[in-house]
Amino acid sequence: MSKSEKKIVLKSLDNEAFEVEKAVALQSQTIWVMCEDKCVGNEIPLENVTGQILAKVIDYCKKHAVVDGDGDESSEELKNWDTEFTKNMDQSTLFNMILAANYLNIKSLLNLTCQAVADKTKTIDEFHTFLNIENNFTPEEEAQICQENLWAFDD
Amino acid sequence: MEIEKRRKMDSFTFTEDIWTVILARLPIKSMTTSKLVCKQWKSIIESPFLRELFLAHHQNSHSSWSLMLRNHSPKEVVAHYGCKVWGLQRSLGSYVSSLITAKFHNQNVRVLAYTEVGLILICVITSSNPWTRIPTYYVANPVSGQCVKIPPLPESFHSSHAGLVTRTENGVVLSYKVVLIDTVNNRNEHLFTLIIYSSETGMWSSNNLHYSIPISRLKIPIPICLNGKVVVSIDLYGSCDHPYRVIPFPDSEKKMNFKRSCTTSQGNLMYMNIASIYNYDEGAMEHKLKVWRLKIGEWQLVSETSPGLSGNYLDYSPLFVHPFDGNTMYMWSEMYKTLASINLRSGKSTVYNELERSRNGQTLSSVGCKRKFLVLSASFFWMFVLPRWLYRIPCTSEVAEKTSSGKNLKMKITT
Repeated sequence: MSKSEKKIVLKSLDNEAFEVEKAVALQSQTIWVMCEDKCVGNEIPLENVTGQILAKVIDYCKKHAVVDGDGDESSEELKNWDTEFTKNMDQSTLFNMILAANYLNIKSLLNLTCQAVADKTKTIDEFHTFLNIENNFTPEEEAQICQENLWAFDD
Repeated sequence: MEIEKRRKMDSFTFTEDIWTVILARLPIKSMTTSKLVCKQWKSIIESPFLRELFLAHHQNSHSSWSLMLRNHSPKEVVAHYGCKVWGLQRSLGSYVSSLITAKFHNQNVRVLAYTEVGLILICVITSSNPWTRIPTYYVANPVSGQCVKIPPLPESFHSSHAGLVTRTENGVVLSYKVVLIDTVNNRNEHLFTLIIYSSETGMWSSNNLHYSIPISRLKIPIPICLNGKVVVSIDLYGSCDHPYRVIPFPDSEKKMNFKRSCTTSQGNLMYMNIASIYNYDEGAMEHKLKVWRLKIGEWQLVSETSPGLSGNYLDYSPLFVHPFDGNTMYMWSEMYKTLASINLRSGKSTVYNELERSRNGQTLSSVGCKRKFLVLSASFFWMFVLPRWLYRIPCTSEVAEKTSSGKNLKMKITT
Protein backbone atom coordinates (compact mmCIF):
# COMPACT_ATOMS: atom_id res chain seq x y z
CA MET A 1 0.00 0.00 0.00
CA SER A 2 1.46 3.36 -0.95
CA LYS A 3 1.56 6.25 1.48
CA SER A 4 -1.25 8.19 -0.20
CA GLU A 5 -3.59 5.20 0.03
CA LYS A 6 -3.22 5.11 3.76
CA LYS A 7 -4.64 8.59 4.04
CA ILE A 8 -8.21 9.63 3.61
CA VAL A 9 -9.93 13.03 3.41
CA LEU A 10 -13.10 13.69 5.43
CA LYS A 11 -15.16 16.65 4.40
CA SER A 12 -17.57 18.26 6.84
CA LEU A 13 -20.98 19.79 6.26
CA ASP A 14 -19.37 23.26 6.14
CA ASN A 15 -16.74 22.09 3.66
CA GLU A 16 -13.85 21.77 6.04
CA ALA A 17 -11.44 19.06 4.90
CA PHE A 18 -9.52 16.81 7.28
CA GLU A 19 -6.78 14.49 6.09
CA VAL A 20 -6.47 11.51 8.44
CA GLU A 21 -4.90 8.06 8.53
CA LYS A 22 -7.27 5.46 7.18
CA ALA A 23 -6.93 3.39 10.35
CA VAL A 24 -8.18 6.40 12.32
CA ALA A 25 -11.18 7.02 10.11
CA LEU A 26 -12.17 3.37 9.82
CA GLN A 27 -13.25 3.28 13.46
CA SER A 28 -16.41 4.75 12.04
CA GLN A 29 -18.51 1.88 10.72
CA THR A 30 -20.23 4.33 8.37
CA ILE A 31 -16.93 5.36 6.76
CA TRP A 32 -15.78 1.75 6.72
CA VAL A 33 -18.86 0.73 4.73
CA MET A 34 -18.36 3.68 2.35
CA CYS A 35 -14.77 2.62 1.73
CA GLU A 36 -15.72 -1.03 1.28
CA ASP A 37 -18.31 -0.08 -1.32
CA LYS A 38 -15.64 1.84 -3.22
CA CYS A 39 -18.42 4.22 -4.19
CA VAL A 40 -16.33 7.12 -2.99
CA GLY A 41 -12.85 8.22 -3.86
CA ASN A 42 -10.31 9.30 -1.33
CA GLU A 43 -12.56 12.11 -0.20
CA ILE A 44 -15.58 11.32 1.91
CA PRO A 45 -18.31 13.94 2.35
CA LEU A 46 -20.00 13.82 5.76
CA GLU A 47 -23.20 15.78 5.39
CA ASN A 48 -24.34 15.61 8.96
CA VAL A 49 -21.26 16.77 10.85
CA THR A 50 -19.85 20.28 11.19
CA GLY A 51 -16.11 20.93 11.04
CA GLN A 52 -15.99 21.91 14.70
CA ILE A 53 -17.51 18.60 15.79
CA LEU A 54 -15.65 16.52 13.21
CA ALA A 55 -12.34 17.86 14.55
CA LYS A 56 -13.26 16.56 18.02
CA VAL A 57 -14.41 13.21 16.64
CA ILE A 58 -11.06 12.86 14.83
CA ASP A 59 -9.21 13.72 18.07
CA TYR A 60 -11.08 10.89 19.76
CA CYS A 61 -10.43 8.44 16.94
CA LYS A 62 -6.72 9.28 16.84
CA LYS A 63 -6.44 8.58 20.54
CA HIS A 64 -8.27 5.29 20.19
CA ALA A 65 -6.71 4.09 16.95
CA VAL A 66 -4.25 1.25 17.01
CA VAL A 67 -1.76 2.41 14.40
CA ASP A 68 1.53 0.59 13.84
CA GLY A 69 2.72 0.31 17.41
CA ASP A 70 1.14 3.60 18.40
CA GLY A 71 -1.67 1.93 20.27
CA ASP A 72 0.17 0.94 23.41
CA GLU A 73 -1.67 3.35 25.67
CA SER A 74 -2.71 1.65 28.88
CA SER A 75 -6.45 1.25 29.34
CA GLU A 76 -6.29 3.29 32.54
CA GLU A 77 -4.70 6.17 30.67
CA LEU A 78 -7.29 5.96 27.90
CA LYS A 79 -10.07 6.03 30.48
CA ASN A 80 -8.66 9.18 32.06
CA TRP A 81 -8.28 10.74 28.66
CA ASP A 82 -11.94 9.93 27.88
CA THR A 83 -13.08 11.52 31.15
CA GLU A 84 -11.11 14.70 30.40
CA PHE A 85 -12.40 14.69 26.83
CA THR A 86 -16.07 15.03 27.81
CA LYS A 87 -15.56 16.83 31.12
CA ASN A 88 -15.62 20.39 29.88
CA MET A 89 -17.85 19.97 26.86
CA ASP A 90 -20.84 22.26 26.87
CA GLN A 91 -24.31 20.88 26.36
CA SER A 92 -24.64 21.70 22.69
CA THR A 93 -21.23 20.22 21.81
CA LEU A 94 -22.03 17.08 23.77
CA PHE A 95 -25.34 16.64 21.98
CA ASN A 96 -23.77 17.23 18.60
CA MET A 97 -21.09 14.68 19.47
CA ILE A 98 -23.81 12.14 20.24
CA LEU A 99 -25.47 12.82 16.90
CA ALA A 100 -22.13 12.57 15.11
CA ALA A 101 -21.14 9.36 16.89
CA ASN A 102 -24.50 7.90 16.02
CA TYR A 103 -24.32 8.97 12.38
CA LEU A 104 -20.72 7.84 11.96
CA ASN A 105 -21.54 4.69 13.94
CA ILE A 106 -18.66 4.80 16.43
CA LYS A 107 -20.02 2.69 19.29
CA SER A 108 -17.45 3.54 21.96
CA LEU A 109 -17.79 7.28 21.35
CA LEU A 110 -21.57 7.04 21.44
CA ASN A 111 -21.39 5.21 24.77
CA LEU A 112 -18.91 7.71 26.15
CA THR A 113 -20.95 10.77 25.22
CA CYS A 114 -24.25 9.22 26.34
CA GLN A 115 -22.65 8.35 29.68
CA ALA A 116 -21.50 11.97 30.00
CA VAL A 117 -25.07 13.24 29.49
CA ALA A 118 -26.39 10.67 31.98
CA ASP A 119 -23.75 11.71 34.54
CA LYS A 120 -24.41 15.42 34.12
CA THR A 121 -28.14 15.31 34.78
CA LYS A 122 -29.33 14.27 38.19
CA THR A 123 -32.83 15.59 38.80
CA ILE A 124 -36.06 15.65 36.83
CA ASP A 125 -35.92 19.45 36.56
CA GLU A 126 -32.43 19.18 35.11
CA PHE A 127 -33.73 16.80 32.49
CA HIS A 128 -36.45 19.25 31.54
CA THR A 129 -34.12 22.23 31.27
CA PHE A 130 -30.81 20.64 30.27
CA LEU A 131 -32.33 18.33 27.71
CA ASN A 132 -35.04 20.79 26.74
CA ILE A 133 -37.90 18.31 27.01
CA GLU A 134 -41.50 19.23 27.62
CA ASN A 135 -43.44 17.44 30.32
CA ASN A 136 -46.57 16.05 28.64
CA PHE A 137 -48.15 14.31 31.64
CA THR A 138 -51.36 15.45 33.30
CA PRO A 139 -51.07 16.07 37.06
CA GLU A 140 -53.11 12.88 37.66
CA GLU A 141 -50.75 10.78 35.54
CA GLU A 142 -47.80 12.33 37.33
CA ALA A 143 -49.25 11.49 40.71
CA GLN A 144 -49.84 7.90 39.62
CA ILE A 145 -46.25 7.42 38.44
CA CYS A 146 -45.00 8.83 41.74
CA GLN A 147 -47.30 6.52 43.67
CA GLU A 148 -46.15 3.44 41.73
CA ASN A 149 -42.48 4.25 42.20
CA LEU A 150 -42.48 5.85 45.63
CA TRP A 151 -39.18 4.25 46.65
CA ALA A 152 -37.26 6.11 43.97
CA PHE A 153 -38.56 9.51 45.07
CA ASP A 154 -37.56 9.28 48.72
CA ASP A 155 -34.43 11.03 50.07
CA MET B 1 -28.52 26.26 2.28
CA GLU B 2 -25.55 26.12 4.62
CA ILE B 3 -27.36 28.10 7.31
CA GLU B 4 -30.40 25.89 7.03
CA LYS B 5 -28.27 22.81 7.53
CA ARG B 6 -26.66 24.36 10.59
CA ARG B 7 -29.98 25.24 12.11
CA LYS B 8 -31.09 21.68 11.65
CA MET B 9 -28.08 20.55 13.67
CA ASP B 10 -28.91 22.85 16.55
CA SER B 11 -32.27 21.40 17.45
CA PHE B 12 -31.64 18.12 19.16
CA THR B 13 -34.09 15.67 17.86
CA PHE B 14 -32.61 12.47 19.17
CA THR B 15 -34.06 9.26 17.90
CA GLU B 16 -35.60 6.84 20.38
CA ASP B 17 -32.49 4.63 20.02
CA ILE B 18 -30.20 7.41 21.22
CA TRP B 19 -32.48 8.25 24.15
CA THR B 20 -32.42 4.56 25.06
CA VAL B 21 -28.61 4.51 25.10
CA ILE B 22 -28.53 7.63 27.30
CA LEU B 23 -31.22 6.43 29.71
CA ALA B 24 -29.66 2.96 30.03
CA ARG B 25 -26.62 4.69 31.49
CA LEU B 26 -28.54 6.02 34.49
CA PRO B 27 -28.60 4.14 37.80
CA ILE B 28 -31.91 2.32 38.38
CA LYS B 29 -33.07 4.88 40.96
CA SER B 30 -32.60 7.92 38.68
CA MET B 31 -33.97 5.93 35.77
CA THR B 32 -37.16 5.24 37.70
CA THR B 33 -37.65 8.90 38.59
CA SER B 34 -36.95 9.80 34.94
CA LYS B 35 -40.21 8.17 33.95
CA LEU B 36 -41.73 11.47 35.06
CA VAL B 37 -39.93 13.49 32.38
CA CYS B 38 -42.31 12.74 29.50
CA LYS B 39 -44.43 9.98 28.00
CA GLN B 40 -41.79 8.98 25.49
CA TRP B 41 -39.20 8.46 28.24
CA LYS B 42 -41.58 6.41 30.35
CA SER B 43 -42.19 4.03 27.47
CA ILE B 44 -38.46 3.83 26.66
CA ILE B 45 -37.58 3.08 30.29
CA GLU B 46 -40.19 0.33 30.44
CA SER B 47 -39.00 -1.26 27.16
CA PRO B 48 -37.21 -4.63 27.06
CA PHE B 49 -34.55 -3.10 24.76
CA LEU B 50 -33.44 -0.67 27.46
CA ARG B 51 -33.30 -3.48 30.00
CA GLU B 52 -31.06 -5.52 27.68
CA LEU B 53 -28.72 -2.56 27.14
CA PHE B 54 -28.58 -1.88 30.86
CA LEU B 55 -27.83 -5.49 31.75
CA ALA B 56 -25.15 -5.74 29.05
CA HIS B 57 -23.55 -2.53 30.33
CA HIS B 58 -23.55 -3.77 33.92
CA GLN B 59 -22.72 -7.42 33.37
CA ASN B 60 -19.56 -7.03 35.45
CA SER B 61 -20.76 -4.29 37.80
CA HIS B 62 -21.13 -4.81 41.51
CA SER B 63 -24.65 -4.24 42.77
CA SER B 64 -25.57 -3.25 46.35
CA TRP B 65 -25.18 -5.95 48.99
CA SER B 66 -25.17 -6.38 52.73
CA LEU B 67 -24.11 -9.05 55.16
CA MET B 68 -27.01 -9.43 57.58
CA LEU B 69 -27.06 -10.97 61.01
CA ARG B 70 -29.39 -13.95 61.45
CA ASN B 71 -32.12 -14.30 64.04
CA HIS B 72 -32.25 -10.65 64.82
CA SER B 73 -34.22 -7.62 64.02
CA PRO B 74 -32.61 -6.35 60.80
CA LYS B 75 -29.00 -5.80 61.69
CA GLU B 76 -26.26 -5.20 59.20
CA VAL B 77 -22.71 -6.37 59.64
CA VAL B 78 -21.15 -5.14 56.41
CA ALA B 79 -22.84 -2.96 53.79
CA HIS B 80 -21.90 -1.94 50.28
CA TYR B 81 -23.99 0.71 48.52
CA GLY B 82 -23.81 3.77 46.29
CA CYS B 83 -23.00 1.61 43.26
CA LYS B 84 -23.71 2.75 39.71
CA VAL B 85 -26.22 -0.06 39.18
CA TRP B 86 -28.78 1.27 41.66
CA GLY B 87 -27.45 4.63 42.83
CA LEU B 88 -28.82 4.08 46.35
CA GLN B 89 -27.63 6.48 49.01
CA ARG B 90 -28.58 4.18 51.88
CA SER B 91 -27.60 0.65 52.81
CA LEU B 92 -29.90 -2.31 52.18
CA GLY B 93 -30.31 -2.82 55.92
CA SER B 94 -31.81 0.64 56.24
CA TYR B 95 -34.29 -0.20 53.45
CA VAL B 96 -35.31 -3.34 55.35
CA SER B 97 -35.87 -1.29 58.52
CA SER B 98 -37.86 1.36 56.64
CA LEU B 99 -40.09 -1.28 55.06
CA ILE B 100 -40.82 -2.87 58.43
CA THR B 101 -41.58 0.48 60.04
CA ALA B 102 -43.80 1.60 57.18
CA LYS B 103 -45.82 -1.61 56.71
CA PHE B 104 -45.84 -3.35 60.06
CA HIS B 105 -45.38 -0.68 62.71
CA ASN B 106 -45.73 -1.91 66.29
CA GLN B 107 -46.10 -5.54 65.30
CA ASN B 108 -43.89 -8.46 66.17
CA VAL B 109 -41.87 -8.72 62.98
CA ARG B 110 -38.88 -10.86 62.10
CA VAL B 111 -36.94 -11.21 58.92
CA LEU B 112 -36.49 -14.95 58.48
CA ALA B 113 -34.49 -15.04 55.27
CA TYR B 114 -32.55 -12.86 52.85
CA THR B 115 -31.72 -13.84 49.27
CA GLU B 116 -29.27 -13.09 46.48
CA VAL B 117 -32.12 -11.80 44.30
CA GLY B 118 -33.21 -8.84 46.42
CA LEU B 119 -36.15 -10.53 48.19
CA ILE B 120 -36.66 -11.20 51.87
CA LEU B 121 -39.02 -13.40 53.88
CA ILE B 122 -40.84 -11.67 56.73
CA CYS B 123 -42.85 -13.25 59.51
CA VAL B 124 -45.42 -11.22 61.44
CA ILE B 125 -46.97 -12.58 64.61
CA THR B 126 -50.20 -10.81 65.38
CA SER B 127 -51.17 -12.15 68.79
CA SER B 128 -49.10 -11.86 71.91
CA ASN B 129 -50.59 -15.05 73.39
CA PRO B 130 -48.11 -17.84 72.56
CA TRP B 131 -50.91 -20.44 72.23
CA THR B 132 -52.91 -18.54 69.68
CA ARG B 133 -50.06 -17.00 67.78
CA ILE B 134 -50.74 -17.17 64.08
CA PRO B 135 -47.79 -16.17 61.98
CA THR B 136 -48.31 -14.45 58.66
CA TYR B 137 -45.57 -14.65 56.08
CA TYR B 138 -44.69 -12.00 53.53
CA VAL B 139 -42.24 -11.96 50.63
CA ALA B 140 -40.94 -8.46 50.09
CA ASN B 141 -38.54 -6.36 48.10
CA PRO B 142 -37.30 -3.85 50.69
CA VAL B 143 -36.03 -1.39 48.08
CA SER B 144 -39.16 -1.08 45.93
CA GLY B 145 -41.38 -1.66 48.97
CA GLN B 146 -43.39 -4.34 47.17
CA CYS B 147 -44.77 -6.79 49.69
CA VAL B 148 -46.75 -9.98 48.92
CA LYS B 149 -48.79 -11.69 51.62
CA ILE B 150 -48.55 -15.47 51.59
CA PRO B 151 -51.91 -17.28 52.13
CA PRO B 152 -52.23 -18.57 55.70
CA LEU B 153 -51.01 -22.00 56.67
CA PRO B 154 -53.84 -24.55 56.93
CA GLU B 155 -52.94 -25.13 60.57
CA SER B 156 -51.09 -23.02 63.02
CA PHE B 157 -47.43 -23.72 62.79
CA HIS B 158 -44.48 -21.56 63.42
CA SER B 159 -40.84 -22.12 62.75
CA SER B 160 -38.07 -19.61 62.97
CA HIS B 161 -35.99 -21.81 60.70
CA ALA B 162 -37.18 -20.79 57.31
CA GLY B 163 -35.89 -20.13 53.86
CA LEU B 164 -36.96 -18.36 50.70
CA VAL B 165 -36.04 -20.22 47.55
CA THR B 166 -36.28 -18.73 44.09
CA ARG B 167 -36.19 -20.09 40.57
CA THR B 168 -34.42 -17.62 38.32
CA GLU B 169 -33.73 -17.43 34.62
CA ASN B 170 -31.24 -14.86 33.35
CA GLY B 171 -31.54 -13.04 36.65
CA VAL B 172 -35.35 -12.85 36.53
CA VAL B 173 -37.19 -14.45 39.45
CA LEU B 174 -39.85 -16.68 37.89
CA SER B 175 -41.22 -18.25 41.04
CA TYR B 176 -40.43 -18.68 44.69
CA LYS B 177 -40.99 -21.10 47.54
CA VAL B 178 -41.28 -20.35 51.22
CA VAL B 179 -39.72 -23.21 53.17
CA LEU B 180 -40.38 -23.74 56.86
CA ILE B 181 -38.35 -26.32 58.71
CA ASP B 182 -40.16 -28.31 61.37
CA THR B 183 -37.73 -29.69 63.88
CA VAL B 184 -40.02 -30.01 66.87
CA ASN B 185 -43.11 -31.96 65.89
CA ASN B 186 -41.45 -35.15 64.69
CA ARG B 187 -41.18 -38.14 66.94
CA ASN B 188 -38.98 -40.02 64.56
CA GLU B 189 -35.42 -39.03 65.19
CA HIS B 190 -34.44 -39.49 61.57
CA LEU B 191 -37.31 -37.53 60.11
CA PHE B 192 -37.37 -33.86 59.41
CA THR B 193 -40.29 -32.05 57.79
CA LEU B 194 -40.23 -29.18 55.31
CA ILE B 195 -43.42 -27.20 54.91
CA ILE B 196 -43.35 -25.47 51.57
CA TYR B 197 -45.43 -22.76 49.93
CA SER B 198 -45.04 -22.50 46.17
CA SER B 199 -45.88 -19.30 44.27
CA GLU B 200 -46.61 -21.47 41.21
CA THR B 201 -49.45 -23.39 42.82
CA GLY B 202 -50.39 -20.93 45.54
CA MET B 203 -50.50 -23.88 47.96
CA TRP B 204 -48.71 -25.13 51.03
CA SER B 205 -47.42 -28.70 51.06
CA SER B 206 -45.39 -30.85 53.37
CA ASN B 207 -42.34 -32.96 52.56
CA ASN B 208 -40.45 -35.35 54.77
CA LEU B 209 -36.70 -35.66 54.77
CA HIS B 210 -34.93 -38.73 56.03
CA TYR B 211 -31.72 -38.25 57.82
CA SER B 212 -29.02 -40.80 58.31
CA ILE B 213 -28.10 -39.29 61.63
CA PRO B 214 -30.45 -38.54 64.51
CA ILE B 215 -31.81 -35.01 64.55
CA SER B 216 -30.74 -34.51 68.13
CA ARG B 217 -27.18 -34.46 66.84
CA LEU B 218 -27.89 -31.81 64.26
CA LYS B 219 -28.41 -28.97 66.70
CA ILE B 220 -30.12 -25.97 65.16
CA PRO B 221 -30.45 -26.08 61.41
CA ILE B 222 -29.61 -22.82 59.71
CA PRO B 223 -30.92 -22.69 56.17
CA ILE B 224 -29.16 -20.92 53.34
CA CYS B 225 -31.08 -20.24 50.16
CA LEU B 226 -29.47 -20.60 46.82
CA ASN B 227 -30.62 -21.11 43.25
CA GLY B 228 -33.66 -23.18 44.00
CA LYS B 229 -32.02 -25.04 46.84
CA VAL B 230 -32.23 -24.73 50.57
CA VAL B 231 -28.97 -25.72 52.05
CA VAL B 232 -29.38 -26.48 55.68
CA SER B 233 -26.16 -25.87 57.44
CA ILE B 234 -26.09 -27.75 60.66
CA ASP B 235 -23.35 -28.23 63.15
CA LEU B 236 -21.05 -30.25 60.93
CA TYR B 237 -23.44 -31.46 58.28
CA GLY B 238 -25.24 -29.94 55.38
CA SER B 239 -28.14 -31.06 53.27
CA CYS B 240 -29.99 -29.78 50.26
CA ASP B 241 -33.52 -30.63 49.25
CA HIS B 242 -33.05 -31.31 45.54
CA PRO B 243 -32.25 -34.14 45.87
CA TYR B 244 -32.63 -34.51 49.61
CA ARG B 245 -29.14 -35.45 50.51
CA VAL B 246 -26.66 -34.92 53.25
CA ILE B 247 -23.43 -33.31 52.22
CA PRO B 248 -20.93 -33.10 55.04
CA PHE B 249 -18.84 -29.98 55.26
CA PRO B 250 -15.35 -30.63 53.93
CA ASP B 251 -13.67 -30.22 57.27
CA SER B 252 -16.09 -32.33 59.28
CA GLU B 253 -13.48 -35.05 59.88
CA LYS B 254 -10.88 -32.70 61.26
CA LYS B 255 -10.35 -32.47 64.97
CA MET B 256 -8.43 -29.21 65.05
CA ASN B 257 -9.74 -25.85 66.16
CA PHE B 258 -11.05 -23.66 63.44
CA LYS B 259 -13.51 -20.90 62.78
CA ARG B 260 -15.76 -21.04 59.79
CA SER B 261 -18.47 -19.35 57.80
CA CYS B 262 -20.74 -20.24 54.93
CA THR B 263 -22.16 -17.67 52.51
CA THR B 264 -23.09 -17.34 48.88
CA SER B 265 -21.13 -15.71 46.07
CA GLN B 266 -21.98 -15.46 42.38
CA GLY B 267 -24.63 -18.15 42.70
CA ASN B 268 -22.36 -20.58 44.54
CA LEU B 269 -22.30 -21.74 48.11
CA MET B 270 -18.93 -20.93 49.63
CA TYR B 271 -17.57 -22.47 52.78
CA MET B 272 -14.45 -21.15 54.48
CA ASN B 273 -12.48 -21.85 57.59
CA ILE B 274 -9.41 -20.55 59.35
CA ALA B 275 -7.35 -23.09 61.21
CA SER B 276 -4.47 -22.00 63.35
CA ILE B 277 -1.52 -24.23 64.09
CA TYR B 278 1.38 -23.45 66.29
CA ASN B 279 4.54 -23.72 64.25
CA TYR B 280 7.29 -24.87 66.65
CA ASP B 281 10.10 -24.10 64.20
CA GLU B 282 9.01 -20.53 63.79
CA GLY B 283 7.73 -20.22 67.33
CA ALA B 284 4.58 -18.51 66.11
CA MET B 285 0.97 -19.12 65.19
CA GLU B 286 0.38 -19.97 61.58
CA HIS B 287 -3.02 -19.35 60.03
CA LYS B 288 -4.32 -21.59 57.29
CA LEU B 289 -7.25 -20.26 55.34
CA LYS B 290 -9.24 -22.63 53.15
CA VAL B 291 -12.18 -21.83 50.89
CA TRP B 292 -14.44 -24.35 49.19
CA ARG B 293 -17.19 -24.02 46.61
CA LEU B 294 -20.11 -26.44 46.43
CA LYS B 295 -20.36 -27.78 42.90
CA ILE B 296 -22.79 -30.55 41.89
CA GLY B 297 -22.95 -31.88 45.40
CA GLU B 298 -19.19 -31.88 45.93
CA TRP B 299 -16.98 -29.47 47.79
CA GLN B 300 -14.22 -28.12 45.60
CA LEU B 301 -11.23 -26.58 47.29
CA VAL B 302 -10.91 -23.11 45.73
CA SER B 303 -8.05 -21.74 47.70
CA GLU B 304 -5.63 -22.64 50.44
CA THR B 305 -3.45 -19.82 51.68
CA SER B 306 -1.46 -18.84 54.71
CA PRO B 307 -2.19 -15.16 54.95
CA GLY B 308 0.62 -13.40 56.74
CA LEU B 309 -1.50 -12.48 59.71
CA SER B 310 -0.10 -12.07 63.15
CA GLY B 311 -1.75 -12.95 66.40
CA ASN B 312 -3.89 -15.68 67.84
CA TYR B 313 -6.49 -17.57 65.79
CA LEU B 314 -9.16 -16.09 67.99
CA ASP B 315 -8.30 -12.78 66.41
CA TYR B 316 -9.76 -13.64 63.03
CA SER B 317 -13.23 -14.69 61.99
CA PRO B 318 -14.00 -15.59 58.38
CA LEU B 319 -17.06 -13.63 57.31
CA PHE B 320 -17.91 -14.03 53.65
CA VAL B 321 -16.73 -14.24 50.08
CA HIS B 322 -17.48 -11.08 48.07
CA PRO B 323 -20.84 -11.70 46.35
CA PHE B 324 -19.62 -10.40 42.99
CA ASP B 325 -15.97 -11.38 43.17
CA GLY B 326 -15.21 -14.98 44.11
CA ASN B 327 -11.52 -14.16 44.58
CA THR B 328 -12.01 -11.78 47.49
CA MET B 329 -12.78 -13.01 50.97
CA TYR B 330 -13.47 -10.83 53.98
CA MET B 331 -12.77 -11.51 57.59
CA TRP B 332 -13.09 -9.66 60.82
CA SER B 333 -10.00 -8.98 62.85
CA GLU B 334 -10.91 -8.82 66.50
CA MET B 335 -7.40 -7.75 67.34
CA TYR B 336 -7.46 -4.62 65.19
CA LYS B 337 -11.25 -4.16 65.19
CA THR B 338 -11.13 -3.92 61.45
CA LEU B 339 -12.36 -5.63 58.35
CA ALA B 340 -9.65 -7.38 56.37
CA SER B 341 -9.92 -8.61 52.80
CA ILE B 342 -7.83 -11.35 51.28
CA ASN B 343 -7.19 -11.95 47.62
CA LEU B 344 -7.56 -15.71 47.36
CA ARG B 345 -5.32 -15.90 44.31
CA SER B 346 -2.35 -13.95 45.55
CA GLY B 347 -2.89 -14.47 49.28
CA LYS B 348 -2.41 -10.74 49.72
CA SER B 349 -4.37 -9.21 52.56
CA THR B 350 -5.61 -5.67 53.04
CA VAL B 351 -6.71 -4.29 56.37
CA TYR B 352 -9.32 -1.54 56.32
CA ASN B 353 -8.48 0.70 59.19
CA GLU B 354 -11.64 2.71 58.81
CA LEU B 355 -14.99 1.13 59.53
CA GLU B 356 -16.46 3.05 56.66
CA ARG B 357 -14.74 4.07 53.50
CA SER B 358 -16.10 5.74 50.41
CA ARG B 359 -14.63 5.73 46.97
CA ASN B 360 -16.15 6.87 43.68
CA GLY B 361 -19.43 7.50 45.44
CA GLN B 362 -19.53 3.92 46.73
CA THR B 363 -19.49 3.10 50.39
CA LEU B 364 -18.23 -0.02 52.14
CA SER B 365 -19.28 0.06 55.75
CA SER B 366 -18.50 -2.51 58.42
CA VAL B 367 -19.89 -0.69 61.42
CA GLY B 368 -21.91 -3.71 62.56
CA CYS B 369 -18.73 -5.77 62.87
CA LYS B 370 -17.79 -4.14 66.11
CA ARG B 371 -20.15 -6.35 68.02
CA LYS B 372 -18.69 -9.00 70.22
CA PHE B 373 -20.65 -11.94 68.80
CA LEU B 374 -18.24 -12.26 65.94
CA VAL B 375 -15.65 -13.75 68.25
CA LEU B 376 -17.81 -16.73 68.98
CA SER B 377 -18.94 -18.15 65.70
CA ALA B 378 -19.34 -16.71 62.30
CA SER B 379 -22.01 -18.92 60.79
CA PHE B 380 -24.83 -16.57 61.66
CA PHE B 381 -25.06 -14.57 58.47
CA TRP B 382 -27.28 -14.08 55.49
CA MET B 383 -25.87 -12.50 52.36
CA PHE B 384 -28.43 -10.06 50.98
CA VAL B 385 -27.79 -8.97 47.41
CA LEU B 386 -29.73 -6.83 44.97
CA PRO B 387 -29.92 -8.12 41.41
CA ARG B 388 -28.83 -5.84 38.58
CA TRP B 389 -32.41 -4.93 37.66
CA LEU B 390 -35.65 -4.19 39.46
CA TYR B 391 -38.11 -7.05 39.06
CA ARG B 392 -41.63 -7.38 40.38
CA ILE B 393 -42.26 -10.26 42.76
CA PRO B 394 -43.80 -13.03 40.63
CA CYS B 395 -47.52 -13.49 41.12
CA THR B 396 -49.29 -16.76 41.51
CA SER B 397 -50.83 -17.72 38.17
CA GLU B 398 -54.54 -17.06 37.72
CA VAL B 399 -55.64 -20.68 38.03
CA ALA B 400 -53.64 -21.12 41.19
CA GLU B 401 -54.96 -17.84 42.57
CA LYS B 402 -58.51 -19.10 42.25
CA THR B 403 -57.54 -22.22 44.12
CA SER B 404 -55.83 -20.38 46.89
CA SER B 405 -58.60 -17.84 47.32
CA GLY B 406 -61.08 -20.67 47.83
CA LYS B 407 -61.82 -21.62 51.38
CA ASN B 408 -60.84 -25.27 51.06
CA LEU B 409 -57.11 -24.72 51.09
CA LYS B 410 -55.65 -28.07 51.89
CA MET B 411 -52.21 -29.10 52.85
CA LYS B 412 -50.93 -32.10 51.00
CA ILE B 413 -49.28 -34.45 53.41
CA THR B 414 -46.82 -36.93 52.05
CA THR B 415 -45.83 -39.69 54.39
